[in-house]
Amino acid sequence: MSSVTAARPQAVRPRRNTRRGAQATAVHLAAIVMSVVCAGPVLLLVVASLHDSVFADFSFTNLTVANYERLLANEVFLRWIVNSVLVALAVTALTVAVDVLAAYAFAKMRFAGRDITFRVMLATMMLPFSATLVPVYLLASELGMIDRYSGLIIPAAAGPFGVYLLRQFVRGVPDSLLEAARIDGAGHGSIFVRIILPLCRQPMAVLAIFTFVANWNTFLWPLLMAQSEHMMTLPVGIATTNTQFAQNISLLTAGAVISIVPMALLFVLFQRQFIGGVLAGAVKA
Amino acid sequence: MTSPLPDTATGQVAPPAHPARPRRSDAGERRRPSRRRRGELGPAAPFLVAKVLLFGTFIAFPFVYTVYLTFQRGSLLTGLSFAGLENYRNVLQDALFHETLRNTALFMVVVIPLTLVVTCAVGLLLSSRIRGMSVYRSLIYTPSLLSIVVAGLIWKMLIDGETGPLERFTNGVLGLDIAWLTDGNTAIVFLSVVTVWTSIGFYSLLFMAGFNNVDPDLVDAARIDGASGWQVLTKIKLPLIRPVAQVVLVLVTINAVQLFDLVYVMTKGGPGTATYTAMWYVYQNAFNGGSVPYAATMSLVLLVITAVIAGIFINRSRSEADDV
Repeated sequence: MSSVTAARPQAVRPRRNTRRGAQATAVHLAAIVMSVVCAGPVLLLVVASLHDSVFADFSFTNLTVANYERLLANEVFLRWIVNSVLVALAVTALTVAVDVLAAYAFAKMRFAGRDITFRVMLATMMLPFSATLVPVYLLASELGMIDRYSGLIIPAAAGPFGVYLLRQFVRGVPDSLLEAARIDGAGHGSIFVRIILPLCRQPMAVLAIFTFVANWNTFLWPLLMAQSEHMMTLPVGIATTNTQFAQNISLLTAGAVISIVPMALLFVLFQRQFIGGVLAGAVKA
Repeated sequence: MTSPLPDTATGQVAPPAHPARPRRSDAGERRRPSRRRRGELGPAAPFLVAKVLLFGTFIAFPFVYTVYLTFQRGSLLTGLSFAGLENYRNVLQDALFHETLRNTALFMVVVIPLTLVVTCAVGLLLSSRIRGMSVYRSLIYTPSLLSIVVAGLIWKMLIDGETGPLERFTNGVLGLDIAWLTDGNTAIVFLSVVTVWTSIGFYSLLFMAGFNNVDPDLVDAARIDGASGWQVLTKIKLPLIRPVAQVVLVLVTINAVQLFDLVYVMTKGGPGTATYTAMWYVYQNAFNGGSVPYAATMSLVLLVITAVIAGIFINRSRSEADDV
């Protein structure tokens, strides 16, 4: 709404300034209201986690970290943290590695079936998970992946989004650069390692952050894969053990806060890549 | 959608034509690619094999298998047999499936307009250049950092009958007695609102990028011609971000049909079957002792419905864009 400035600057100077000031105030006000609506409930969650009580307590007095101490001394909860970190990191590493390799082939090599294969992959980008859910589960169980890290990790790296994202970028690498390398005797392997990888660092970072965040928060697939308590990720653990694990809700809220911390850190540290991922992710279902 | 298997299979299993080809000939081949039909399939194979294998195994094959399952009856343990269109007939006559569609439709009727209006407005807000906007942007993005599980936990706490601040406000201050999750329709509307809350950050950023991409010269030119701020917004900016709105519309639609996590955390489909969404019903059938072919059929019917709605939205906005 900053665009809503006075139409005729030559009219009256002082009035224009006050109008602009009023508009800036209105924008600030609207932004503050939205910030409270969005961040307020999360702040309340943090406050609730700092109380040791059966019902959620939102007062700002008598705060204690007892819940956090108890959680971080709990073996099962620590295992969930380890699982979440391990799975999200592994899916991210696998996705980025596999996708950048494929992106190079799709962008810079010519082979029979290239375009049709790529188009088929692209077409599935909007395919809802429900359309493949049942067979993927059956397949995972057939392959003995249930309740194993392999089941949590490998199927999650199958999506076409990264190939699409990185291929766009690799296509932008000038052919003359690759041609020159080839004349110097470089094969595809060394072109990939020496030219493509260094040039793709930025989009790979975007893909990595996007993948990590998505897999950190994902729920349905790990819910199906983790049959035993010690294979659960944080969201699954928090959602399924309401009753047995935390008789007291503040313990649960502390667990929830711990699950947010890595996301908040990533957001603060890598805001540019984060937003880049969101914008690139707009094409993903 | 065509069967993706044959092509993926070629890309994956075809042996390298010349495994030990000297490097030089790669360069020679590159110059005249059309001479060889297979092109660089050999050299490309090592780059492709991992992705093609993963994609083929966990997306392409399962999708084809879903379609196959819809024409089967029985279970994998007892053995499958051909059922013709039986599953489709049953799904279309299933009263509970109809109810899930009604629930999903109600959910979409709230989520879609609310998301579009709110996130477009917030996107416009975020695109304005005022001091401290990056702080606001971070705060507004906060809910999108949470997993749906945590978002559900937060809102359940806020409406808690004993200490929930939101419940205390609506009940104590406004004097409203809202049956947040115990009345069917209210529960769906509440799930919708929470869903919008979780996605404000994400979609607002898309709109923000759209507004930032509007050519400033265009706005300046309109200003010089005497356009008011409102006119600049409605006649220039909004028409130009129509493609963003279209993307948001399609994403919201797809996600609305897939609604599952929030149902799991907040209502488990209840009260009764009032918040049974289509995806929840598929899950119940596939993993809680229902029929696997039946679940597969429902998921395919859902896919068709989603595709039709998304297609309508895309065509609608295209033809509207042509009118402008």
